[in-house]
Amino acid sequence: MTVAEDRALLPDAAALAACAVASAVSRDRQSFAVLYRHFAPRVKSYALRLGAPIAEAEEIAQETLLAVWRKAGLFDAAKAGASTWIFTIARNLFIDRRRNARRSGEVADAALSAEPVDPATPDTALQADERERRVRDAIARLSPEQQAVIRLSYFSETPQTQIADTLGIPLGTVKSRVRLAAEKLRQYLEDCR
Amino acid sequence: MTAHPSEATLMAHAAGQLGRAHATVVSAHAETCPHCRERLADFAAIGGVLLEELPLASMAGGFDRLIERIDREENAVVEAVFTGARPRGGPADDIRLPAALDRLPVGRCRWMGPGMKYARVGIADENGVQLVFLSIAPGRAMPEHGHSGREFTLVLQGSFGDARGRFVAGDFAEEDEDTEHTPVVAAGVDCICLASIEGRMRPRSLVARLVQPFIGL
Repeated sequence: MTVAEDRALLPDAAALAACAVASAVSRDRQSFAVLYRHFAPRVKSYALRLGAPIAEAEEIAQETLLAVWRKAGLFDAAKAGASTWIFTIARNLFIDRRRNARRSGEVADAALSAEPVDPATPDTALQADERERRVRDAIARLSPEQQAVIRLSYFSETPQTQIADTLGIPLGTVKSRVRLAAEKLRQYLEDCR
Repeated sequence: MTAHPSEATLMAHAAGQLGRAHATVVSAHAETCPHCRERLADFAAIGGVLLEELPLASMAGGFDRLIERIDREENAVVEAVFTGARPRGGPADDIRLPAALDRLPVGRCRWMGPGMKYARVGIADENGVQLVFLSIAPGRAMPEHGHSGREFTLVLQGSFGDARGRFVAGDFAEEDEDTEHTPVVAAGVDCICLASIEGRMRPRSLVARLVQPFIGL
């Protein structure tokens, strides 16, 4: 199935959030299956881009969805969309694995495997769907090159090198490109308020 | 002077691309800075939107494998509860025990009849109401019984039915002196309940009445 075909069949953000809630409230495995089909292949893609070998990428996707099942009760549809929530779970899992791999030989320390970065739950009243709409609009307003910079900032093993390669620019100028793209993004996000 | 992390730094943080030390400083700042928490939430949402756009990698057979794993783990959890080993080393949601039970000790698992076990939760109730886990095997019926006080039951896993209908995980059943029932556990998995029992259960059958004093419920 191509991505385009899949998009046509995509459950929308609201439907996915409803599935996360149903997974939590009634431990509904059919809703969980919808979440799995939608997100597991994307999380695997994500891990592959971060440099995980195929088997590990698949494991990260499995672990992420397992965490989704276990933590579904913590999902708050008002604060974050399902995709944002699942992105942060996958990201934290990946970071944990990398850190633990580097620490192999040392005694595992429970405190160090705590959430490495802040949860995506702000304390404002900004609704999740509202935030995602703003974010989509802001990304769309960036130039194609800036969009590429942003994507690579999230989805590559070594963003600096990859951005330099993709844009055909010297490594030394990457930093300022990233800074510019991030600032533009912020400006458009504020415009969309 | 700039008192906040730059946009590029916040983005790298939300993308998980900062190392531990840098990430720790940014996190520590965000703890007391609503402005940056808000910006980080935007950058996390960008991660979510970009995740949606990624191509699909093949996960053939993955769902069935994951469900098998979930079944295995959820059963293991139940065993952990019923051997009295207080499950530790993971967040409370890993073991799917209600957070209300956090830090309460669970006693040894005891036999209370064919296919039936219970374990006491160590809680000092001001009225002497007992708090217990009950585990009843699939297809088993509890002996028909009444109650000498109120009894609240929360289904944690599996289901049981009685004359009123079927109670599934999350359902709350309330009994008192006036109710008598014969709960029957559905096929499939053990039915695990958390029950607060006031007074004593009053089994109707003679055998059950005879063994009851030894069981202590």
